[in-house]
Amino acid sequence: MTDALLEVRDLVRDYALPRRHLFAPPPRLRALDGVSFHIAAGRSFGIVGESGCGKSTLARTILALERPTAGRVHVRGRDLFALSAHELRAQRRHVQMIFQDPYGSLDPRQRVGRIVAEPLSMTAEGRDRATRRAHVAEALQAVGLAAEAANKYPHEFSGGQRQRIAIARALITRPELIVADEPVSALDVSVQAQVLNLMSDLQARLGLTYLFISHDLSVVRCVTDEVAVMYRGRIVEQGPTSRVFTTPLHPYTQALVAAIPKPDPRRRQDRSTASAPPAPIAEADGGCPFAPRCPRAEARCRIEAPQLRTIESGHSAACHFA
Amino acid sequence: MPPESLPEVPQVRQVQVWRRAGWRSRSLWIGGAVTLVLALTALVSLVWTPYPFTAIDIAGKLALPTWAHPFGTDHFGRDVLSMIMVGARNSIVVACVAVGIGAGLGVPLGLLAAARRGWVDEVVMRFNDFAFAFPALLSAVMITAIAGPGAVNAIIAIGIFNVPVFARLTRGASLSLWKREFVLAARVAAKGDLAIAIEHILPNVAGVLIVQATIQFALGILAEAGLSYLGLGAQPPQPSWGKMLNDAQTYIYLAPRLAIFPGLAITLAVLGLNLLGDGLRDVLDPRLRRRR
Amino acid sequence: MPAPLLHIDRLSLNIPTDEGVAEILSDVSIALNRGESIGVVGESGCGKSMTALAVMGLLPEAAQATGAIRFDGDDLLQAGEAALCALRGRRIAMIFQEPMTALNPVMCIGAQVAEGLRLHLHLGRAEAEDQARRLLDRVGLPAPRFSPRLYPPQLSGGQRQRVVIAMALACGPDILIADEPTTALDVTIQAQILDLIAAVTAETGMALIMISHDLGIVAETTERMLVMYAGRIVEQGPTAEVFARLAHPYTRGLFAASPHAVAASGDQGGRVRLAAIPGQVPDPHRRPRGCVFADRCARATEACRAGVPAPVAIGTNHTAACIHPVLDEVPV
Repeated sequence: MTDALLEVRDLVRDYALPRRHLFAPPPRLRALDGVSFHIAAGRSFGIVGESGCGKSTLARTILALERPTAGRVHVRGRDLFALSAHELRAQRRHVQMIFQDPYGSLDPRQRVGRIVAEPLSMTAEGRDRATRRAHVAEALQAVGLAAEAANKYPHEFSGGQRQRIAIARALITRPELIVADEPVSALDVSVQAQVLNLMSDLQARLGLTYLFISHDLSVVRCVTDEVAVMYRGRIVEQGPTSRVFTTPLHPYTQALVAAIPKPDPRRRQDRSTASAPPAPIAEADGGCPFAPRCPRAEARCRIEAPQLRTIESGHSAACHFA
Repeated sequence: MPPESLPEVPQVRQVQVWRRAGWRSRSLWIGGAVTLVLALTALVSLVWTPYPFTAIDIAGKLALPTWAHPFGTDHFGRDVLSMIMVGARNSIVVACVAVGIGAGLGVPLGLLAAARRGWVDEVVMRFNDFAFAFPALLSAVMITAIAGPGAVNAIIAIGIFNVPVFARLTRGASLSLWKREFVLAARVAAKGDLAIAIEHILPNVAGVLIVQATIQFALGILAEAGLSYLGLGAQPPQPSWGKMLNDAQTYIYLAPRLAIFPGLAITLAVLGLNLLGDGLRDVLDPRLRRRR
Repeated sequence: MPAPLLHIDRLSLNIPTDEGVAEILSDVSIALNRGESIGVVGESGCGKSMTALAVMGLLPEAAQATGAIRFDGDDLLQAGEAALCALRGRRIAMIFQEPMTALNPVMCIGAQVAEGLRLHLHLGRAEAEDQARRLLDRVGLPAPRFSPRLYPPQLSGGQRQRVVIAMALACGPDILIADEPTTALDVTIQAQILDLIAAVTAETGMALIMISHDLGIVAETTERMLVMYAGRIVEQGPTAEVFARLAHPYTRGLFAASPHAVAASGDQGGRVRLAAIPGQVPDPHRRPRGCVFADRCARATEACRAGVPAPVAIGTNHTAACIHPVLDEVPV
């Protein structure tokens, strides 16, 4: 898949939990359990899932902030974790990130200009102060802020404006891939809409590729071409966004879609939602991870873990009954 | 999800509101004023004192406070006011350099421990625990007794025991910062750990460190007074408040004022610095910056 | 027609700050009848949470409130702290957004649920424990898995919110105020919690005030709703009516900007441009003189800026504070 901008193959990430006994080996928590997907250039790919599904771990691994236990990540055709430290640093300008918390992702002690210039300052052309200033002004204007904003501090801006600053920072090195980890979850609806439109416009203008991670299905539905649904470290369904939402194949996706509150008062009825989730299990069980909550689970599901297989063109699900 | 968990009071420029609340702190102004007086006294003593502090006048010894000698004279006829002024200078220099040593070594150690975690963190913290296990003042006494009395050794002795204080404080304050998203953002921008520690972590812990430094300064003055009292600090003829207290013991019934003036000087200096530290905390400490 | 259980009568709230006086609420009037469920929708800074705090008597000290909040005849704004303490938890209960900070992490959940029982109903220890056990069962935390001896950090977000609901229910209050109760929770858990709130309010006949920024939640859980913007109520009426008409330009804009709207319109999905509302919420220190929404409204005229628009009748019991309400059909 050499034309894919980002390719993730069989990614596994284990975390060690505190030991139960002094001499027992520490139990492992499997945050990512064999995740594979790829994104072509210019597309917008969504990852949807609730807390604990591993999407943040996935984002950090793709950005080489963490090393996976197993599996590979290829960006622009190169294996990220086979690069030397120097090559990895040079590679970073091509993949940038927008974080969730507009209040926490900007250093409160630095001026906006310096914050936005940070990724640029680590590159060769960013050494020159005048160049940096010019680029910062350009980036701020591209996100709808005045160039004078560079002299102010983050606390002087509202949440939506801070997120724009974060976007400006993500853009400044003209990356090819931007990973957006819940970029609008902390924002009001009307501000959300403005920021999402901004991201779409920038994508069209600059030819960006997005990996859009969110727990909010409604948002993902608006801004992505393709979506993957994650549960407990695995992708359980993947396909074109419209299809996954209108005809979800996996019971978890169905539960998610059914659970979204719709602004339609005719819908006031009881939903049959999946039962309360059990306590997180540290060791991986055999069988489908969703089985304990699944209304359609049978004996087979608890023994044999379903693989992600294509049901219709481009639309795959990991369920025995899809 | 919205970061606010409690309903908001108007968000408009919160930091300016907090800062102003801090600047209104009485501790800040009183402490600041006292510390300023202390510093000025010390500065002035560099160029002028009412009398040279070595000037002995046995005939005029143990004089009561008069216009000529506002604080009176001691058992050698030296002007007490001049001695207090020069003593201020000594106390400040010793405390300053000691805190400088403590912060200069302790802060980088703390930053290192927080950045690296793992066994580096363990080693640094165990050294810290080791240093804390020794009672600071007694160990300072021991060091100066072995290495020889004098201002320099006093500085080193006090300085050594400031290192673990700053190391632990810096590490504690930095630990949570390393998890913050702006640090992750700096990593995504290809910044290395050292650059992050200097450019992002340090400015954000500076407030806490400054507050602690003022408190350590006060403790440093106290420690210096203690050492000089035992004869282990600045040696005569350099006057120091602790030594003055010691000398005053013999005359405590005859001329209690000889103990009162240096004692008051020490008390005021320490009090002023503590108040200043409290006041600075109101202004600088980010934890107090949550909504009131 | 019996008098409403809770009547907020032209409530205005100002808070003096270093930057001047912040007008948090202006002329807010809400009538809540026994057993009714009402939704309050708005974005950050609209004052919806402050309204709830005003009812509970938990306003910041510097706040200056005018108007009246009549609960069963008594004006809560004039009531002393002792009277308010007797009401809180006993007759008016509140659940907040962040269950972790609403629960004391070092006190076991049984004790926290029993606290209100012992304080307000003066139950003995054993009786209170029994009642607490029953309440935990009611909110979906059955024995033996969920012992009253558990501590909040041992529970998940959804489970903690259930404990908070149990605490709110304990003394059988007349009104339950839920301030963004599910914002911090996952979607599937959110649905369960909302179902639970609906079930307990229906069962006990409690009135419900559901505060949310999410139109979907309000649509699914309330009979009546009101929309707040910059400290004022801009539209109110039966929930079905409001959604059918979307008369106030802000309500319509909010609906159109919401990603739900795209889903609701049964669109093919894929990348869609959202209809964002241009501009920002006005600063509470500098509220405009006329209609608060005029600066962002495509339909604004000179008349809009001249004075605050009075509520205009759109349907039965349905009003919008707008001189030019949107009267054409809502795109389905």
